Amino acid sequence: MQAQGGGIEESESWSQDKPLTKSSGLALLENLWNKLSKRAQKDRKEQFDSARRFIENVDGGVDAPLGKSFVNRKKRGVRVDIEVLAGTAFVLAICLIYFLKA
Amino acid sequence: MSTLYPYVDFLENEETYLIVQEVWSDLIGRIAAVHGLETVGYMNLSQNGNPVRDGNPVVADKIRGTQKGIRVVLIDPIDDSGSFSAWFNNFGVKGSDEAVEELVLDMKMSHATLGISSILIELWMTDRLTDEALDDWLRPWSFEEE
Repeated sequence: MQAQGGGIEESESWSQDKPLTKSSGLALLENLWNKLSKRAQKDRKEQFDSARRFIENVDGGVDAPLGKSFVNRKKRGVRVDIEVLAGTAFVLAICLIYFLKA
Repeated sequence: MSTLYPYVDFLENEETYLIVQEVWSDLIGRIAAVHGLETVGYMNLSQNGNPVRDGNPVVADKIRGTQKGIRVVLIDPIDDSGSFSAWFNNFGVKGSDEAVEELVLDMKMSHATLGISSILIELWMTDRLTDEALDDWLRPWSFEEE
């Protein structure tokens, strides 16, 4: 995940054997947001919202390779990129609850 | 800046989306063919068995046997923001076989944006599009808002 343009180039990446969950993806996006200055956040607020919505709305995970760009079209070059280079990302973590009968 | 391309409902109409996708694939393929090149897709545009039709991207094709790609992002024609932008991006781990040097085109589809896209795609495929040249081509389309 990268925030680009306007002199900014910050990123958050992941590498793991298991598919990245939605909650982990959202946490990475939040980490990226927190790396930015107030000004850089202001310029990218809508783009982060769009990226967040994209992750939240993924149904069944995103299979690589895929790149998506969320662009501030009022400020040249300012954007948020999500790139899935291998495997699957943004899957829903399933909590299995076992009810044990006594 | 230009009349919108006829397929304005591509985000709502599956049939229109497929036409638009074909227009772009065909355009990139034809430009490549003029130079004796072939194109092949390099992104997974189906997710969980279903095609994703959000225009982001509508097509991502690279020149077969090279690492040069073109990714096209189409935005909603009713969006009130800028109508064309482009940039270079390294997709994937640099140096790996799967890495793609992309020219990314982001636009409202119109006759004018199709026109400038054709020029940029051809320059990119034939190694004549530098950062400076891209800046020059984008100058008439750029505006900034505080």
